[in-house]
Amino acid sequence: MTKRILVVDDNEDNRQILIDLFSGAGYEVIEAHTGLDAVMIATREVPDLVLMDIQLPGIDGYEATRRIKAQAALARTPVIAVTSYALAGDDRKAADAGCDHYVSKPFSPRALLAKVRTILDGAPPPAA
Amino acid sequence: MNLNMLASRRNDVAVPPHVHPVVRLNRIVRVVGCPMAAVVVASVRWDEPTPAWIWLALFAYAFVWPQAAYWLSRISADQKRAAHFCLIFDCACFGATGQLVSYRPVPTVVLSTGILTAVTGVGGLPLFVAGLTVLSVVYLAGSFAADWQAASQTTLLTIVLSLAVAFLFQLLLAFQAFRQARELIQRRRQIEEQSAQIGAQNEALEHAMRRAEEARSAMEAANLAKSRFLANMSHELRTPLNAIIGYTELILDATYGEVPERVRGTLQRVERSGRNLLGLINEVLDLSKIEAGQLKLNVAPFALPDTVNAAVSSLESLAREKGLKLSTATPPGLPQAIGDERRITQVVVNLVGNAIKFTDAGEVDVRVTLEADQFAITVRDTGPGVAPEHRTRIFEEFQQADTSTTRPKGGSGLGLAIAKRIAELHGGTLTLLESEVGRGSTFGFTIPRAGPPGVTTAAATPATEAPTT
Repeated sequence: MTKRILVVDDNEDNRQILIDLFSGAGYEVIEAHTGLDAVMIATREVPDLVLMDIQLPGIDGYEATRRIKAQAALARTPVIAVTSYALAGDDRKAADAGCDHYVSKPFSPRALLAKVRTILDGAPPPAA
Repeated sequence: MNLNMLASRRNDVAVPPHVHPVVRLNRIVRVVGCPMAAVVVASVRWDEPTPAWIWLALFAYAFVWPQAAYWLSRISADQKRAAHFCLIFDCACFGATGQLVSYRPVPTVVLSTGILTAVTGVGGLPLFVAGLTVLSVVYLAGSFAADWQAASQTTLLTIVLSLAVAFLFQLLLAFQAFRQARELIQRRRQIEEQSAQIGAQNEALEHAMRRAEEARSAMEAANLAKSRFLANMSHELRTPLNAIIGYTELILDATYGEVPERVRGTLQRVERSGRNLLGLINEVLDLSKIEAGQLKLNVAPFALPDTVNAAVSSLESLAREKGLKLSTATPPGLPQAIGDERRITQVVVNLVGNAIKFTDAGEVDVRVTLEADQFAITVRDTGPGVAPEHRTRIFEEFQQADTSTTRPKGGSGLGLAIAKRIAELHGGTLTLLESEVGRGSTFGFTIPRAGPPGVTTAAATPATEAPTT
């Protein structure tokens, strides 16, 4: 069954990269533009993985992650935090909010895809 | 009285300030009082047979004793106590005058009230009691010896003299009291002025401290604002850069279909430029993080030779392009180093990258050694060298040794400043060990073997890019 990835980012370009990347890799991609949207869509769609931008309008990515993880159906869904501040304590804050992984912008799509494959399929990606 | 005032003034000037005021007061009172008492006694003894030694004693008491008492008190360790003892001796002497004036009422009353007034004026109730006791005892002893032979007749001269003495002596004491009261008032005024001055000074000091505090917090706020601005700018710069690098990579990976070879080369240039720009942005962010005190080290044990080799080999292609010989020497069997491996890699890449960048021919040599309690990484090149006047400036932000080379060599000029700060965060150093213009430079980077100060190995958390909970 095709795995579904929820991509949360307020920047259209960055959202599109992720959509192109994961669609191209054969995943089903759903998207959200704000933190509140993300919580709503995640609740409705129950994705297999969430890519969460941290700098979002309204509630930020940490808060959205907290709300997603608070639901029993989503408690075990992996969340990857994507931040571009990369300040000391960001990784810590991400972990505190319940994010399972952490990448900082700009990320290499190649490396991110490898990471997602490892998480979702539990196996290293095939050599590209 | 003017004489007394003069005398006291003269004393104020002549006598060292450590003379107790009581001693000074007693001298003035005695210099005037003792001769007056002697005159009263003499007026009685004039008509009666008196042995020569009594005249001698009277003379000594009138003129020698005032000075003797003063000096005795002055040289004493406890001047006030000595002055009190001298006054008790005065009481004894006055007691003895009882018999000398044959207990005639007028001189007796004048003399005893005179001495008791003086004693009480100096020592209050305790000295009054002591003086009265001594005076009475000597009076009584004298009276027993004289078998109560009180004379009833008093000559007019004695009466007049006694009353004059009583009047003058009271006047003297009154003036002394006035003088002391005036001094007291003056002193109080002085103290008030001084405390007002001190108050004003305190206020000025507080004001200055408040201003310094305000300046400090303003500076901190400015610094924080600057760091925040840099961090936010960095975020704003990274977001489009993410799209540039990300899309380039996606296109190169044939996500949107096969890429013609000609376009592939161009895209690789785009990607390389994007990554260069990212490197510069990272440096700006690093510096702002360091300045905001937000750069935290991810301290863990690691194999320093492996880290250095990896960092150097990432620059091998660059050295090869310029035809430089790049060599590393790491002795076998080095113990594990403790620090932030990623940051130490950053420093090594910066040092070696600079060496390659500035060296046009020759070699770049990297060595790792363990000297006593610290690891040392030395990077030697055969580049242009650093002139003595530039040796401190190269470690400052936004500086390269020769600004004319900034453009051809590129770079933000932040790398070395950041590397130095990273070395210092580790408790180590980054210095220019030696340099000769036209021959080359050697940079030295040290980190303590025990790791950064304040971080124990046990507390060290392994560096993870992806924390899991």
